[in-house]
Amino acid sequence: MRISCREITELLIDYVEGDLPETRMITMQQHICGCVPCAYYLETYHATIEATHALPDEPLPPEFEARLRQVLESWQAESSGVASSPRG
Amino acid sequence: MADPAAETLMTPERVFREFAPRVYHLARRMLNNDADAEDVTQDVLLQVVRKLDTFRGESSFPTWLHRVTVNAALAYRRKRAGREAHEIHDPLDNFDESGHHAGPVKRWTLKPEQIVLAKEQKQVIENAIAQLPEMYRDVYLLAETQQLPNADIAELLDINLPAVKSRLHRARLMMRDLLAPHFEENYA
Repeated sequence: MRISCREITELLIDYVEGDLPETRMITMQQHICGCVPCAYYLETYHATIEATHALPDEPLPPEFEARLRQVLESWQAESSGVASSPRG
Repeated sequence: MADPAAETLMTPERVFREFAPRVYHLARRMLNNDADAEDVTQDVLLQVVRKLDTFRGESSFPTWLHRVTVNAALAYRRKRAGREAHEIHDPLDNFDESGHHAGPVKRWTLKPEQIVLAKEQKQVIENAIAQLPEMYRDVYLLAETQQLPNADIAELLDINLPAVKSRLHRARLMMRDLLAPHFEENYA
């Protein structure tokens, strides 16, 4: 069964996640093996995902970090004051 | 012998040190705005440390934190509704009538198996994420920067699984097209 490059693109998520029936998987593999644009497209689809996975969470901007720490310390001081204040 | 309870004990200091950057960057990318992300981060961290005593670990701490962060960012976005609009080319329009690629597809200098990002490359990816329409960006961020399973994303965004999968796929295709001009190999 023939499959077009557009259909390959539409099915890529199922293909990379292994969610296709075996016959469909084989049809896709055969197309990708014989079609250079689709092979490159698949490679760059993977690279897109991997590049985003590699994006780090940098440290907080220093000014914001200092401000946030101050807010947290105020909250801690306030809540420990409430906890240790005598009843009545 | 170490007390396992002490090892997993979550303190305000630990939340701040280990999780604040994650909250901030998820909010920043969802909202496309540093100042808004600072507001959301402060709100989320205070919400979380206030409730730390009641957190019994029914779900894992990161799962709980994701829920609080996503809810806070979505609520913030609703408050400022109308500030963002993105027009983006549909990647499935890049095919001719017979279903072939309409233009050349080039390899990239960035290979999936050996990715270490330089500073400029990180910025290119951040800029591309920022251009995604919100409905695709949210799913993409949760799937690819937080690496959450589709079922968790469905629950967090209150959409069904097929919608998560369809939006994620469309977002990946858009990202691929946005990144391509920056990473394509030149044979000149």
